[in-house]
Amino acid sequence: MSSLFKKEEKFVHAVDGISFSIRRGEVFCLVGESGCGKTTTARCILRLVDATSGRITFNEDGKAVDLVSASKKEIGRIRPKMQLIFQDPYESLDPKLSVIDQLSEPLDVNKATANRKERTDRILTALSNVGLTPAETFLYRYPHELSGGQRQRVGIASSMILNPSLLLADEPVSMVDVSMRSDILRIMLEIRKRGEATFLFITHDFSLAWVVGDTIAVMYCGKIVEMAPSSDVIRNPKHPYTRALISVVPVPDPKFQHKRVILTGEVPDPVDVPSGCRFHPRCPIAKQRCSEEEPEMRDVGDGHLVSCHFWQEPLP
Amino acid sequence: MTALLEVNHLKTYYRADGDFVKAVDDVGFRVEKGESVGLVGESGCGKTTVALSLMRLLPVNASILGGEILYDGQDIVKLSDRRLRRIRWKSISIVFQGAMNALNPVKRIVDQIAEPMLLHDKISKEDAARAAQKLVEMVGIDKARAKDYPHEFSGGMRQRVMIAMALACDPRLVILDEPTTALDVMTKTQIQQLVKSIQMKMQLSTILITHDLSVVAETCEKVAVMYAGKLVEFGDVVSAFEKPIHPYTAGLVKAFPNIYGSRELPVSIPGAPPNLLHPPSGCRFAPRCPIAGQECEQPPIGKTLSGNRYVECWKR
Repeated sequence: MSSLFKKEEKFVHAVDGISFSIRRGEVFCLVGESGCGKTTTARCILRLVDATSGRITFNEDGKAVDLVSASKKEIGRIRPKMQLIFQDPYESLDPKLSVIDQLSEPLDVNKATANRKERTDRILTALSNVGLTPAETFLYRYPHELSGGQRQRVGIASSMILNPSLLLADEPVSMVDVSMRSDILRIMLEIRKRGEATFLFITHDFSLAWVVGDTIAVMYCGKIVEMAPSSDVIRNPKHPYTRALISVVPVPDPKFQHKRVILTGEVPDPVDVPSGCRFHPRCPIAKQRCSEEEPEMRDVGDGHLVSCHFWQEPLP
Repeated sequence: MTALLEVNHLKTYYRADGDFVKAVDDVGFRVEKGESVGLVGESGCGKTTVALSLMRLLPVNASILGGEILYDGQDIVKLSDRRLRRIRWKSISIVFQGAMNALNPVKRIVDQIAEPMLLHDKISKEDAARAAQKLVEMVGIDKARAKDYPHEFSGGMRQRVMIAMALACDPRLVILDEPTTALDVMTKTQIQQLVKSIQMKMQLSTILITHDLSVVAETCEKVAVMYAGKLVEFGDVVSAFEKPIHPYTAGLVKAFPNIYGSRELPVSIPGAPPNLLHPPSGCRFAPRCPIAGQECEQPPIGKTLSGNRYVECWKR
């Protein structure tokens, strides 16, 4: 899949030839720094951005649909099955809508409930499922009457109300206070446990990916550079970029002895990407070959995928 | 020995509809020469208001209603505006939250760094320009880029410019308000290391304001924990993490995921912080506290336990 935003005859290579599959019922984490293409990937899946080329297959009820080539009408039919959980609960809720109105909207638009009673029941269930209990007491509250954590729960309830099978959560807790983050994550994991949905979880924070993710894909400059089960990525990272990033993840322990690998420079301009391996200008172990030949993604054992010519070399 | 900065019984309230928001309510802590203190707490706990009080840069609807802020023996609260100007920036400077977006877009960065010197020091334009150039290099910006404009820099680089500005008048105490919050993890680490090395080199004292306890664990010697306008615990970082005294500190420490720890979800603190217009009359944390008892209906009296650890809790 690739998506190129147009920019004065040049192209932003936001997402450039990435491939992955999300198993039903898993939490798949896309991790990377800002501008690496993780949000664009989610937007392509939702067809909020048209991918320039490639395929995105969505399997639902035994039917496979290519979201890139699907007609508008078909997308309209599928979209209720894929919902986004937004990053900022202060911006994603309409300040003038009470909770019940907020949650009624998707139901009404999709004519999902037959009558008022059924609609209210469904809303009450959705609120209880995200831990807003007793649900009745939340129906007529407005966003400003809710804490950040409660707002994000309403956000999740409204994403869940149409019973989607895929939830795309884009940094869902980065605006939520630390003491309430786990509650939000727990709600997501419970939804997953009940088998109600599969998650694409987008974050820049490896420690979150560690506690919620089944699989982690690390993105750099529009490419996936490493992909494996979470514990393999965290405990045994192979790509020099992943190794460096994990070495600088803050640890809540003042006695912890870091062996930090601090990269110099910054993420390259996606309009003008480096030749060969996109990471080579910042890579501590880059060699001549890295600037000439783009590494291919390969399995280095047990489904641990890495795209690096020299992944076996130690970092300085 | 007198501390460089000593804050005692500080009260800063905001006026709102004829009432007071008790944003900072009887807060005290001290910063020794060359020491780094982390001031942590969740959004709305009053940490930024403490910073603004120290600089006497409060908005018009806020005022310091009590307490003292002793800088090198003189009380900042009582200083005349003229005397205050001699302390501001020359003795205490601040890197504001999100300030990297507050640079003047039409002024070269080297000129912006020279600006505080021209305002506060008796210095010629040429000398200020020379000193600014030196600062540019000191914060790790390529000297060839000193004449660039802010939009030509990335977020991390702009934050370096802000740090250079804060150092321009050779202060002894620098307040950093969420200096790395909006930055990517690698850039964050680069900035933290930069601040650390400058601090050592210049024997600076710093107050780091953040919601991220793990950043405090990695960069500070002391930690002051604020909750709902109160300073609930103050002491050295290692003890605070290993054996937190206040139940809120303990809750915060447990709320952070650790990639070197188990994959369990961290534990949240139930509930949400109180509204500071009408905070609980007793201990403000009591409604969320796992060990609260009857005595907690009265406001706790601060006490200093062994190891010079200050805490406000009835149960300890």
